[in-house]
Amino acid sequence: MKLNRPDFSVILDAIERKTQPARIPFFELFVDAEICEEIMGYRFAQLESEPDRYFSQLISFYVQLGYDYVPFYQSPRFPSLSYIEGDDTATYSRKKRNWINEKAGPIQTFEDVEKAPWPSIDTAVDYSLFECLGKQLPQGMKIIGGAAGGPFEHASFLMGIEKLSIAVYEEPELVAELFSRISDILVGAAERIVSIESVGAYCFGDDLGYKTATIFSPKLLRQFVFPVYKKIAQTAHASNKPFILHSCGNLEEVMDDIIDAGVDAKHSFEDVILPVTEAKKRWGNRISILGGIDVDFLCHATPEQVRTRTLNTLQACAPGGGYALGTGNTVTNYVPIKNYLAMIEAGNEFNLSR
Amino acid sequence: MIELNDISQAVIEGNAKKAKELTLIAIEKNVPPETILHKGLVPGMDVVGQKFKNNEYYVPEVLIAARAMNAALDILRPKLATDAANYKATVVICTVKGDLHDIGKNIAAMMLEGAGFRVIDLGIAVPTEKVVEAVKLNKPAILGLSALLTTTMTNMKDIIEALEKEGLKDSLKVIVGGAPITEEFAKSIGADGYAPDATIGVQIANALIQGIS
Ligand code: B12
Repeated sequence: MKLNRPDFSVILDAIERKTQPARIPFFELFVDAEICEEIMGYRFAQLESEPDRYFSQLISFYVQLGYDYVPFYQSPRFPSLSYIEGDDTATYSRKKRNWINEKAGPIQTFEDVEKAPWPSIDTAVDYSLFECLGKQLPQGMKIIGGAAGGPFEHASFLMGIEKLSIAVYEEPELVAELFSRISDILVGAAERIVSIESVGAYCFGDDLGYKTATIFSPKLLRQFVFPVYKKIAQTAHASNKPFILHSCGNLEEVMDDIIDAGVDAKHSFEDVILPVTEAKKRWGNRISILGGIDVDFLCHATPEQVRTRTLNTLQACAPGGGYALGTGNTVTNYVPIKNYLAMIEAGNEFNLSR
Repeated sequence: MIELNDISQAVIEGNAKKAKELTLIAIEKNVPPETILHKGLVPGMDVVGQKFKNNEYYVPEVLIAARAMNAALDILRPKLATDAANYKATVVICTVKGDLHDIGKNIAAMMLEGAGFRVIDLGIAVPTEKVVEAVKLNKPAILGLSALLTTTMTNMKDIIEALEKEGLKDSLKVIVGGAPITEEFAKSIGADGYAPDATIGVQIANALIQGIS
């Protein structure tokens, strides 16, 4: 199955859209651990206790599947979130699934903001882990990643999306202060991470939308979110590295803002909202379009259907470059592995046929 | 009847204080609670629903409007509760087993309540047996089901099958919604309606109860 030697310049070409890449690279925000382990046939070591062994296993997985990079994210050490645990109904179940409490989080008042144990930029992320992973990378391979989560996600997780929605009208100063604390740390951490050699592109997930619109109005996002993207894009660009945004939901109304902020590539697409082939047509000459093989489709299709759909998508999206193949979100632990592999194999087939 | 328009307006603006005050005044003036509900709150929430659908309102604006509606409903509910006929129909709603996503279901519930339905919210990650029990107990005209992920939406099918097995399916209509849900999926599991958003959810609920009665 393995065809590609890791060559970061290929995915970089796709992200930066300067030239048409030599082949279509693969992109995922990440692949769920259960899927990696199932494919490799062994349990991965724990990052916390055996980082070196974990990294070597992680690299093996992404090399074997044909990626040019290893995704790696570290959650900034913001105040601990309020999680609720549910049964995991996935095929490759982790038994329990953690959900972020949408009603409330650790930050509810100004006092909470003041008293919360905010990290400094130095302590926000263990930057040495990026270095450590970087040292083990084979030639040609780089890291895509960063401090996990963007400003909107962190604010909504720290307050609870329902509370944040009310607070934006009732306590706008509190919301502004929360966003400002989060943003300073995110920008500072990004600055550190992009300066690490082995990090080839900066990326985080910041889900702004849902089925029919953005969760917050474009006006509020322009106030709190896009200026932060702009700073992060500038920071990455100052190190000659691109900035990839993973953001789910219907972002139609704010795509111009995202492009204007300097985001180089947009990831996450859903068929029910806008098929990726349409997204490529609409925005592909201004921003790179990544992934888009719909997760729900991948769950229900046969491998043959996955192959056909992948080849069709590539036929539509490959011309002119600025595209990488992957799922619409992540290879989550309920995507059938045979379908994930069918997508990858169709990508290889397409590349060979060119 | 100027107060009723003002109540609608307070809901549209998300002004909970004003909605509450005006409701108290209306009650003092002996306006029947069902009139306040159907001529004050419902038209207000109807505008909110339209604005939400047209992307003039987003999640925060809907939540503050719903809170204003609730401030008024808190006063009205005890006066209405004695008589189910004051409501259009009863809706039981929940997020299905394995799924802890709350806000989509909550917005759907608020909109249905704002349209004059009596809404019984069973919460999140509700096991199939609990849904069946609640249907037996409350005899709703409509059952609303929500799910965020493909891996959890299959539990909607289990619920419909369980209702069929108990002979309860014909007594109600099932509306499904949530990120991965499509019209096709809704049909395939025998649901009666698919709501791409909460506003359309209300339209479908209205249409379905007309079909029932
Ligand atoms: C926010 C979000 C998250 C948050 C969840 C926060 C939490 N509580 O844990 C975070 C970032 C953590 C997250 C994580 C994941 N997510 Co997510 N997430 C979303 C996102 C962007 C928005 C969901 C949301 O908040 N919507 C806001 C509410 C208001 O909208 P709503 O629920 O759709 O409800 C509206 C309507 O649908 C309708 N409605 C809903 N229910 C009902 C019911 C009735 C009766 C009616 C009438 C109407 C109705 O009314 C509402 C108002 O109009 C969606 C994208 C999307 N398209 O929705 C992806 C999405 C749901 N996530 C997805 C995935 C894959 C994941 C992960 C599995 C990723 C991973 N590998 O780890 C995890 C799983 C979560 C977990 N707990 O483990 C996929 C699911 C794909 C699929 N088909 O299964 C989606 C669709 C994104 C995508 N690109 O494909 N996610």
